[in-house]
Amino acid sequence: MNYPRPIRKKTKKSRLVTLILLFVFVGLAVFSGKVGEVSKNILNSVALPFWEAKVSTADRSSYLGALFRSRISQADEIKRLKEELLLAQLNLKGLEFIAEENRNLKTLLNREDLQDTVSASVLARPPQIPYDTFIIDIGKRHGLAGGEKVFFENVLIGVVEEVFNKNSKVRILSSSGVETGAFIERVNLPVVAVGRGGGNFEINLPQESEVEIGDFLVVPGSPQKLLGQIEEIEQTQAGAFKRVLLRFPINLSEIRWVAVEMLADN
Amino acid sequence: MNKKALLRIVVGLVALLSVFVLPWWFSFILGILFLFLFEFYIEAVLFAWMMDTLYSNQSWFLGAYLLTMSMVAIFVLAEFLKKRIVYYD
Repeated sequence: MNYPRPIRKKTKKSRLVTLILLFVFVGLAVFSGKVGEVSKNILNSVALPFWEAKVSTADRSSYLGALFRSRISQADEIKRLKEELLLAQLNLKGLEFIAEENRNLKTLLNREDLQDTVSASVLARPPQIPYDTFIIDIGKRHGLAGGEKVFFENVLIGVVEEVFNKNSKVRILSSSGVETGAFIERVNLPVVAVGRGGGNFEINLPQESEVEIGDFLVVPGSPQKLLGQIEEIEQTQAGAFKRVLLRFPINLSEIRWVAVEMLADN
Repeated sequence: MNKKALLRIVVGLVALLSVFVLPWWFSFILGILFLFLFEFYIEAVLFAWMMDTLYSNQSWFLGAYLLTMSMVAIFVLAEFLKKRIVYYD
């Protein structure tokens, strides 16, 4: 019969000491604000060079694929991209004209845009990290204080939650349980979108609300920013409410940079 | 320093690097693997705590330290199982 080998008393004692030290440290880091803040700052300082190296390596390695593709397929892709670029440039001309008209109208109504934004590179994003969070490469040194809104193009993505020396943590608005006030643009209906994680939101509306799949949700402000697009509506015959499911109009895992709106005091 | 201790240090550095640059699930699985490969691998709990500290955005305790709590539970389970598996005698 086999018996478990008895652990020596000295090993048992050292393991107990290790366990106690670890739990005291983790306990202090979790429950003591000061220790927690110091440990977060140290961890972020240590992690930052690795995140930056990872982003830099990922950018460079995207060119490696070209080594293994035939010249013909590359020439075809170049042709296709040139055509897309031409169309995009034509569309851009039209948009520039509309934007200029919009600016002129706002000036007439004394409602110029007062946004001051800073670009930031995304160092870590879902699904690499287990929470609905972005890590961006600007922090206290760049004038951030916490609470700034974060955008990708004209989509409101999140809010700066924690600021460190050279980087910050952004809470994505679709984080589970986070509530965001918005309105359905087509019918001008104010709603509260509740995050469900992974870029998804849900809204509970009365059955008689006139919403359709494809409707956009916008966040009030000047200018208005997009929050999401309705993808599905779940309703039952007997229920008084219907559940509207929506998501960001972009894929969060593909975002490489964001714009951070600086607060007026910064 | 014996070979086992050196291996443990190297493995610890690899796990630490994976916390910063690899997907979280990869680091988590690596931590569980090392729990069974090494004796009393408490470093796995430390790495889970680091991931929660760096990336969590939840305000309530259990939500903010989900990975740490999970790894503590797996650590306790692993130590319990290792005492009862013949392979570890």
